[in-house]
Amino acid sequence: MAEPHFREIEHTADLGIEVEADSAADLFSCAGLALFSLMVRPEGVKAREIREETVSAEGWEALLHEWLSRLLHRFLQDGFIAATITVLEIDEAHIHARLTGEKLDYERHDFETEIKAVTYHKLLVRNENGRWTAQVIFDV
Amino acid sequence: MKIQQIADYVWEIPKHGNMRVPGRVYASREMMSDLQKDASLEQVANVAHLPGIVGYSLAMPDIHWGYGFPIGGVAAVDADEGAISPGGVGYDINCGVRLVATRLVEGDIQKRLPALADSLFASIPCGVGAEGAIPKLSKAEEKKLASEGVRWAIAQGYGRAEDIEYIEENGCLAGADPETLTDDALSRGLTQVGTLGSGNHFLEVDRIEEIYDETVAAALGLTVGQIAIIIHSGSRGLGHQTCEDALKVMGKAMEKYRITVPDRQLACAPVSSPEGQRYLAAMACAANYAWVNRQVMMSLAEDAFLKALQISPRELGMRLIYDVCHNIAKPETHELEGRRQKVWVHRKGATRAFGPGHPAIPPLLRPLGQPVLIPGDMGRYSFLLVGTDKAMRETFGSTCHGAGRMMSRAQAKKAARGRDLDDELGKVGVIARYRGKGTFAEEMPYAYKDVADVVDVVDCAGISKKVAKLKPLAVIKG
Repeated sequence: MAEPHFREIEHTADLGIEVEADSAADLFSCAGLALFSLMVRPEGVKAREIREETVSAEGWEALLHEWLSRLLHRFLQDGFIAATITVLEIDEAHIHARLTGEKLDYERHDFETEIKAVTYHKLLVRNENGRWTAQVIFDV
Repeated sequence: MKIQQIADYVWEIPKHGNMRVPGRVYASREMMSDLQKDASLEQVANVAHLPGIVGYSLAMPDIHWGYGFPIGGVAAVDADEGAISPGGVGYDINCGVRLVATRLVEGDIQKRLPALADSLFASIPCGVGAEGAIPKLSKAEEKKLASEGVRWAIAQGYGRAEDIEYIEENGCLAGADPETLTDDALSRGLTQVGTLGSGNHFLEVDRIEEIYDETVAAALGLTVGQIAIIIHSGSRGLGHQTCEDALKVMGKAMEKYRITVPDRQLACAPVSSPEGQRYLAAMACAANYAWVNRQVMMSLAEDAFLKALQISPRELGMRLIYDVCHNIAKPETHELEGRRQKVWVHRKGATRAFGPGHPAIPPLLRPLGQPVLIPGDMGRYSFLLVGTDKAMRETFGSTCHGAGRMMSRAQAKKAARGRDLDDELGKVGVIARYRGKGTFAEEMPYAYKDVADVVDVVDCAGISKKVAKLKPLAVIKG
């Protein structure tokens, strides 16, 4: 088993991620944390509150889009940053997860980049022999 | 991809595959060779697949790789037969720029510049989650704002009635129906009116440094040394949500209307379809929200100036020169092959640049052409231009919108390590106030291309004309 991990896609005008994991649950959890880490440096983000999120969509790609959009809303609306994401249930149509984290505090956190939206551009989710990969481009 | 040079600064991508029209790119030879390194030109070709597209799929010299549409893209579609694409407008609906003149000269503010920067930074909420510039709206009031645009802001005491004339569409895009906004979009908009946001958005105090066209500058009441303000921002969360909501609907509508496009982010629906009409009504609301946002920020900036400099509104003499959008779709009439045709013009990272005499330009400025504002990076300069007849003939009255990035955000941050960015800006005479260090590093001048190169191309190609150059003195950012 390899640890789930992500890589930032470098491009002059855009920001994106490639994620790899051994399960859909790990893929979605890792993609969520990657999104937060592009916006705020993960060091120093504390588990001060617990939230649960449920998202539905048709198909893995749409689900990943909806999932990341939901997390982005939580950040843009309430300033919420996740420290951990535990996926409780997941299938091709829905995800239910528990998040711990806290609100953005400009004094304590290093704010990096404001992401405006999760795009459909080159959006990919693949499962090849149990190896899950995803690619997402963000609007910044 | 095959590319042919058509004129000194114009390149054509001939029709191939399922392209409905050829592509045309305004760029210098150097820019063209850079562009061939990424997928920007492919995106110009992709846009040419939109149903009902007329003329050319156009790209301005600040074109860069986007998602679906390239940034710097212009596409006009037939108003009856064409398809409207939310991706051709972008997430930040009516992101735009306004230029405000004052009666002050540099000497009037030089000593108090740090205090002025502090005062502006304290008055205008910046950064992620910025809110509370004005009291929280009720949903009913927000809907009124979305229908009325800048008229709403003026009635609330933000700015002056005469400002309206100097805003594209008089600060209210027709057809806005707030009932088409989702609850999510409305909720995101409740507390963000009058907030700058983050990323490349800014509010700047500038000095007019150089004038290229004395006649136009004099008619606009601008002289060298004068202090001006530039505000660059958009429709905040309400606009982003509106784009997102529409992309979902359009994605499904494409099957229904049997439309195929090469990239899902180009999702579109016929202008005349319920989905198309609904998007246009919601987009107009978001556009109106953005104009109100810039109007309120201008008013907050006026208060900040008065407080910091202890002068009267008369001494300050704030006057809106013009407000342009650079992420929008507009219903316009253009001449195509000798025939007047109603079209919807998508401008994504492109600015309207109507030529002299156009009825959309306020009467006093009409003989000059429409003012166009092209912001550069925060260390160098921004430009004021006017639209031309040639833009009307060649680019549906459109021109560029900015500098474009040279470094990725990660590269810019890497380059910032171990450097004192405030000090570097200080050395070029700019005071900065900002919320996020990371964002600030991403926005450093070295991360951007030189906007002068972009402006020179549109000037030489004749699709707009340089009027003045502005040099930043103080900048506030998210």
